[in-house]
Amino acid sequence: MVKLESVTKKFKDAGLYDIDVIFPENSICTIIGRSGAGKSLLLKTILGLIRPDFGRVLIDDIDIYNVKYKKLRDIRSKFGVLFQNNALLDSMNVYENISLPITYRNPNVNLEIIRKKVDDMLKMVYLDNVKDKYINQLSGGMQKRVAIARALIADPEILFYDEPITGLDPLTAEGIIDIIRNLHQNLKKSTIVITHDIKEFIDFTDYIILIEDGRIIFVGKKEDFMLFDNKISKAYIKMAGKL
Amino acid sequence: MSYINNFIITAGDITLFILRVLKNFKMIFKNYRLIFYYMFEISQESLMILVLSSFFIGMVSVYQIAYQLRNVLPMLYVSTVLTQAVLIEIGPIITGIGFSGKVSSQISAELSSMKVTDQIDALEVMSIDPIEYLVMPRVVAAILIIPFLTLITEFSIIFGSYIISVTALKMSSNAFIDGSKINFEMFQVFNGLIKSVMFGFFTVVLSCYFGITAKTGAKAVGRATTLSVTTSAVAVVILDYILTRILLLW
Repeated sequence: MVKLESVTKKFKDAGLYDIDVIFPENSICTIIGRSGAGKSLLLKTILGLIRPDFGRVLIDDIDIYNVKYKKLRDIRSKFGVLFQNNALLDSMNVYENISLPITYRNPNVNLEIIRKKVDDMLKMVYLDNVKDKYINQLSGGMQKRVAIARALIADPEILFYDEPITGLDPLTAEGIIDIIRNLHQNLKKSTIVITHDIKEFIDFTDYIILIEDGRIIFVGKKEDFMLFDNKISKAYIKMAGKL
Repeated sequence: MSYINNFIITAGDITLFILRVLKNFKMIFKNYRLIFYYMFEISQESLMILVLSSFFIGMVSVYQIAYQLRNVLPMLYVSTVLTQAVLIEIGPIITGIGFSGKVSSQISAELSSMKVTDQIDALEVMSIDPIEYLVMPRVVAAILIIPFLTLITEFSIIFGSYIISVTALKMSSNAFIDGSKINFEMFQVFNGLIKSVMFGFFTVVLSCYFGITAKTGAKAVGRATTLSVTTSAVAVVILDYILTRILLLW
């Protein structure tokens, strides 16, 4: 379980202020907010990439900023992350990218098993015949799918999607949303989606967190969000076509 | 004052970075494939430039030495002076500066663009230590390959000077070779190689540091590359002085 206690991080032009939140297990939680509201900063803080000035980030009751690097690596093995710009290693082909989280940690692992696993992951994201292609030979949507496959291969407990459909055309975006929805239905993993476009996720999200200027202004169930009386939340509900 | 503060903070950061790199040396065997790959990449990138530039440096140097020693010493000593200078000083420093220009810029540009596009964060999240995966193999590859590059550079300089000596300066081949042997000691070669290993280590560590700590945005890539080239070139010259003092005492 992911839990944040009074997390505060100040930068010159951005920050997080007194973030207290628990992400319920096995559910989809969508973090929404305007560009620059602090969503990606919050994600990087949860992932152990940006140390908060104050407060604690707990993963299964372990403060990730208060453990040794080796332990942090063990904790991170529970994460599967789709970064906003995919963050695929462009010096590698699709197969090497997807298998990297496993092959690097276990160099003696049976390559046949890895090949089979990579094939399964590619099937899961509806990709075929791309294993030998390099990242720059793929379209934006295909790269996104490869990045999702990489996030899944080590069988993580928690999945993070940072702006999964930003910059994609509507058809491709729909395909990515289908994948996220199906993965959650089939795998039932804790899922945290970060987006500024709630419209595409409102139907299947369980919880919503609304961030504005680094502060949480709403956290709760989707149904409660619909009733939340606030100018910004109303704008999001309207955007989602539910008002 | 803030300039001094920044300098002290960066120097501290670099020291901690070096310690992390050294700590990861225990993972050499796990990463041997990457090390071989980078050894090949580094030599492929720098070999032609080093050979070509050092060949011409050799040709120019021998002209200058011959001119300065005219009417002072017999021509035989031209190759003595040149060989000594190349083995002890010129060979390692040309390799070091060449390294900081070609290899260092390539490494910092590559790592900083990885940083800007979140690839380094992605490695962290995949529980892959970027120091172990991206930095240590490059540093070890540089340390292993730079002595060979230095020897090739030294050979190219001496060969360039030999060509000019026997063609333009009308020196006999035997005189050039005999002159080169005067005062020659094997430890001079080793001293030069020790220097070059240190140049390779610091050049690559600095370029990795500036690459991996780049800020966000396209401008950051340019800034990291410029910083890495200039800092490593200055570091090579400063190190050269320090190592020369130490090695001469030793």
